[in-house]
Amino acid sequence: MTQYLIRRLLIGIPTLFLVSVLIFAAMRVIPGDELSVLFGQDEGAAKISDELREQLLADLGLDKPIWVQYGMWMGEVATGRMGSSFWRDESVGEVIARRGPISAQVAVLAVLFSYIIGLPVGILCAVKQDTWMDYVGRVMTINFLAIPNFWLGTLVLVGMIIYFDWMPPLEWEPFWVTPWTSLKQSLVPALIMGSAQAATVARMSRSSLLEVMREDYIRTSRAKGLSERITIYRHALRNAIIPVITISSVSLGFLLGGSVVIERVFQIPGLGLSMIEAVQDRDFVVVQNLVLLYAFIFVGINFLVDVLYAMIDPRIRYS
Amino acid sequence: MAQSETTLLQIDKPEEEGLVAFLRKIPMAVVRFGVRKPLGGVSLVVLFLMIFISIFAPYIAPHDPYELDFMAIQEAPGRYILGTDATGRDVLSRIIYGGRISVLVGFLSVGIGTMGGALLGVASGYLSGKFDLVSQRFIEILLSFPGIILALILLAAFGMGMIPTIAAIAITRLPQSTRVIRSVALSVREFDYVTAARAVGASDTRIMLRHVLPQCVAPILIVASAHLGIAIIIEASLGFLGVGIPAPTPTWGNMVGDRSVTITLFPPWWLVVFPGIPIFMIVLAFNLFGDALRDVLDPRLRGSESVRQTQA
Repeated sequence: MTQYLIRRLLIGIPTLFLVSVLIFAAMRVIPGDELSVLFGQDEGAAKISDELREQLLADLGLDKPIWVQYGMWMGEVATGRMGSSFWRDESVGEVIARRGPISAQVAVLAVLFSYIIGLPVGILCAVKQDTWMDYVGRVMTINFLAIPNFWLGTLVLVGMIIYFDWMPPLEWEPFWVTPWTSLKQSLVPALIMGSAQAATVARMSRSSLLEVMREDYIRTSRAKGLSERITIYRHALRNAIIPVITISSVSLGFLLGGSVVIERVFQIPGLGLSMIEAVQDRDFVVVQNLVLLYAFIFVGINFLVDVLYAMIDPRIRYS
Repeated sequence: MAQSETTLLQIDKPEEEGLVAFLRKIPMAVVRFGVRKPLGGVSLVVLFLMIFISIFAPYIAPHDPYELDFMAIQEAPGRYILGTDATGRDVLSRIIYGGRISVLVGFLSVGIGTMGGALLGVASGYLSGKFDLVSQRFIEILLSFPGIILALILLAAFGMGMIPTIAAIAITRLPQSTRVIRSVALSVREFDYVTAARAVGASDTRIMLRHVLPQCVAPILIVASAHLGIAIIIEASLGFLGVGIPAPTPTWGNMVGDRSVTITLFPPWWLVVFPGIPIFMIVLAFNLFGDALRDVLDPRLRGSESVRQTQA
């Protein structure tokens, strides 16, 4: 098993390397030279005198050859500083340390909600297939999959402000200082994100459970005389839940990077908001570092899922 | 004797061939599809309606979407059927015109993305070897980002506007189409007629285009129909965030997200509720149609649907 896991881990490293090279190149081939991109085509860049221009380029490290710049960036990644943002007076590492936990908290809560809401619905639909409960469940899941989450978020936001006198918090309490307040703050955004995910979980668990319920061992379990409840919960569900966990983990990986839309709606100071701001400010140092972070999270989550698979399904360990 | 002869003649009537004959069969196929899958049929009708309204927007919209009316600033629905925004522009007309953008961007980006992905998938699956290895690594990288974030990053590099948006969304649709088509290509490779073509000396390109690709038409259609809803949501989300298609062009997304056209602290309900409804409707219609299409074309794909990772 260790060998299998080490192999899976090693595959992730060239992927990360490739991502770093690609995003580095992509940010450098932006049309126009870097300073025009930063300061705007006509207004700012044209007014910079030549010496100021040279000084700026030197400060930003843009005058060195590309591979040196790449090397410098890799060095900064290794030390955790990850380059300094153009507009803010802090390193990207600090931004991530500050905003990352908030995004992560909302993401984890969202995935939890998606299971709390989605799993029972999926199970109910599968067990009561083709009854009215199944149809209601399927209609709701299909609808929730079609609702754009920025729309739902904005509607909830405006609704809460008007009817419940609630405002999105201006300052976000960190979790380890005041856990309860912190959870309350992330409740509404997490609920919205979670309900969208719940639709996927419900759909997936329904179809997966239906497939498993057709298997022979389920029939045997019933024939043995085990109650329907034990059959479903102890036997069918355990096997059916595996694909659901896979997909959920991928979603978790995506959400850990911060949901760009929800963070914008509720003004959550998370990584998603950093990304939007960096894109709009053309702060490509932040963008490339965040991209690297996303890739890292993705590879990490995939690896954890592989570990989970190996633990659940013994056949995989020996392959 | 004469009777059976006519019967025989009727049975022996040769089937029409050619493009025109194929096109003539389409209406009946659509009707049969609608009868067999009523939900899919209704969705198709809704889609046609929305596309029709988008195309004939100038004749259907009651006002010019860019026309400002300072006598009716942020007016609730009444005189103007769905209300106005802070500069007096009619919400209904903007929604109708916004449909043009969403439909256009949706179809173009999915068309380009799916076709590109299919070509790459066919090449990857058929040629295997190093080409497959390398291209699959690139695909994995693209897959590691949620659609919106990938589109956002690409738009950071490309800039704003319709063509960059279409390109960015098309690229986000590449990886999944490639994967699906690649697995189909992998199995088609083993078919006898492909081996025969190789034995006869057909070039790889010819085999891929002439033999493998036609087998992939059904999966391509299914993938494309699934992606249409996702692409529209991504386009709307990008508009909501303020990137992609710039104001004052109305798109459903930027109507919901545009904070500059409200005079109050937060937008009034008619500016938030109404632009989102068509997004919901068109995505729902595409999803239901796609599901029905998949059921008809290849029910085997039912369990392994690609994750609709649209919202991130």
